[in-house]
Amino acid sequence: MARSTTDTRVPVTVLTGFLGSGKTTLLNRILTEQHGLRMAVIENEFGEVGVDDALVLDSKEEIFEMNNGCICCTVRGDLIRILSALMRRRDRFDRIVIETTGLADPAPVAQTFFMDDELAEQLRLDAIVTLVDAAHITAHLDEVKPEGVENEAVEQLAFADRIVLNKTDLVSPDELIAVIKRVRSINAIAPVIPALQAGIELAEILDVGAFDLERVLEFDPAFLTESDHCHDTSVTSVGLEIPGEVDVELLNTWLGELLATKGVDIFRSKGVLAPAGSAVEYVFQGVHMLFDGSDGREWGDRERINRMVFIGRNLDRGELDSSFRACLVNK
Amino acid sequence: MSQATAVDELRETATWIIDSGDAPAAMAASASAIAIAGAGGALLVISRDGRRLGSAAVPTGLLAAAWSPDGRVLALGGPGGAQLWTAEDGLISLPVSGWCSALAWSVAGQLAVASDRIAVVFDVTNPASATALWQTPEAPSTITALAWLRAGRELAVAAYGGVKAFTKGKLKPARSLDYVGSLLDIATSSDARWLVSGNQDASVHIWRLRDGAELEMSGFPSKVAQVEFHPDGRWLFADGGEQPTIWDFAGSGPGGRQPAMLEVNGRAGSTRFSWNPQAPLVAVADSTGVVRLWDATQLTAGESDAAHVRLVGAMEPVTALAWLGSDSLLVATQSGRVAMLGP
Repeated sequence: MARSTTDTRVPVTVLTGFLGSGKTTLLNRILTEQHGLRMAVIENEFGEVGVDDALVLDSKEEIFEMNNGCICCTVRGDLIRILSALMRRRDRFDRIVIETTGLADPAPVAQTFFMDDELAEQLRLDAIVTLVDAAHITAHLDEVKPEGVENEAVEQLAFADRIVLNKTDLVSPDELIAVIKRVRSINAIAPVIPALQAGIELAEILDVGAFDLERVLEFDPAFLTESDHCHDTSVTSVGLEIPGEVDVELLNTWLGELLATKGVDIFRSKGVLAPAGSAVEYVFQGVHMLFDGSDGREWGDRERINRMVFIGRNLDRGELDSSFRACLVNK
Repeated sequence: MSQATAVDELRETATWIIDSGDAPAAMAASASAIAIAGAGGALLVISRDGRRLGSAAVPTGLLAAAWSPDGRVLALGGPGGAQLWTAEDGLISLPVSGWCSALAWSVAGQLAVASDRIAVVFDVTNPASATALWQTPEAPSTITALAWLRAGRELAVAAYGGVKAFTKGKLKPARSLDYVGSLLDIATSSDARWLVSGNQDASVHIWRLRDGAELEMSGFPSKVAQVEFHPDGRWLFADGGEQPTIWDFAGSGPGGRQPAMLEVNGRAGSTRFSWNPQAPLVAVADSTGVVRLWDATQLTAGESDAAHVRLVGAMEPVTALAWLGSDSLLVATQSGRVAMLGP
């Protein structure tokens, strides 16, 4: 997923959100605004998009398990098929927007772009944008699901790179503050964009580069350390900021074990690390067990600080912190 | 791509070259006509010397094209359903509207078309009023490939989870070849002994139809999106990124025998190939536009092979290849050009 300025891959934006959160309104807005961008749209319900000249394809969710021993590795077979056909008409569009159903799990959607070589070479997952309805999101998040069933609203928030908090006119200012606080308790790194009728600047959700290793640096985990839960069974964000240099071998073992044993629970991860003896940063990002890492910028005179964030279920900050510190060269 | 000084080899070597006006997604040649199906939905039918015989537009786009065994009727499939085309009647819509990237003509001239998760079999004796004869139950996913077995009595349907073969009027499959994973293409040998699948998990799976015995080859560099036997039933071609393979099925079959590996510069999923209808020659185009020819009988099992004949460098991705008889090859490229190489 490393991206250079010469990356010619087509950017893909994934729009998720519950029914009624305003996805179709946003989609129609993206398509009708005079921004000079040629879009291809994959929508989940045919005929929602009311723009005649747009290249629109319809998809029905088909989840395929990958036959590779990775238990959380599922992909969207329908997207592989449709995107591959769409790429034959590459000259017709500059970017792709995929709208998922309100009940869709974002993980297979994201994993599709890592697991299928043909798509990975031609397409670049830009960002997952989640729309939420300010008036109803709390009820959706509180909904108790049967054992083993995921709360899709929680998942969609946890996976998001941008959160559009729509219909803010339907809640009072106090309620809005409470909703934002609640959303942040799940996903502390995605910017929250308040909106009325999905009226946002498109620049806020397009060309985000959320899966771009060069932009892993653009988060600040410092504010994540304030979280008041230490161990929580719900979905939270855990940010770590630990000065020092890490032993590469210990780090590899630690990350490998963490993703192998907790990969199902860790939805998204990002980090910038300081390997011992290296003049450059090591940057990584992951979706469940799928992991992508490369060298980052030169450290220069900057203090060596390891910064990471994990968004997931049953995350134990103390455990993550102490196990990472065990990888430091000078403990 | 813009190598202004480079020789336009396609133009230099072609007997004729035309602009089809759309990115060709599929190409099919009959004894007298060539059909070029564009991804944007433009159908162009031309004669063997490049003259235009007919055209049509399918607004939802095209993915597949296949002539009936007698060469009279062209079947088309795309994201928005399936169609027929004849010189007399032009474009005829079939009453199916689901995703159709799989078409299969039986030897008797019945047409099976995929429509999302079901396959429908049509009697096309009178194309203008083609009638649906029967259909298969829903597959676990959108159908990726179809093949007729037992001289057109069984229809094999490939999807996520394996292959199921159905007969007219029965909901229960006559045959179930299960596989944990997503099948992208299937092929059957002309002697009806083997059924092979190319899979999303970068493997080729082989079933011996007599007893269901299985063989598998995994570890291709990327997914295997296309598999096809030479008409003689002995040689199997499988794509798989930069390492397509040819497998010898002679004698007791491929068990214990390694395939020969062909060297191309492939981007995943971009290889296009076509078996010569007579000799065991395969034309293979890679994503750089170079078209090469291999003779299956000259390959060594288990070894990588560069012993090919370089036919042409098209300077842009080749999106479809088709032999026209046994001595001419049609090459279609991304920009819509279609060239004939050969006499």
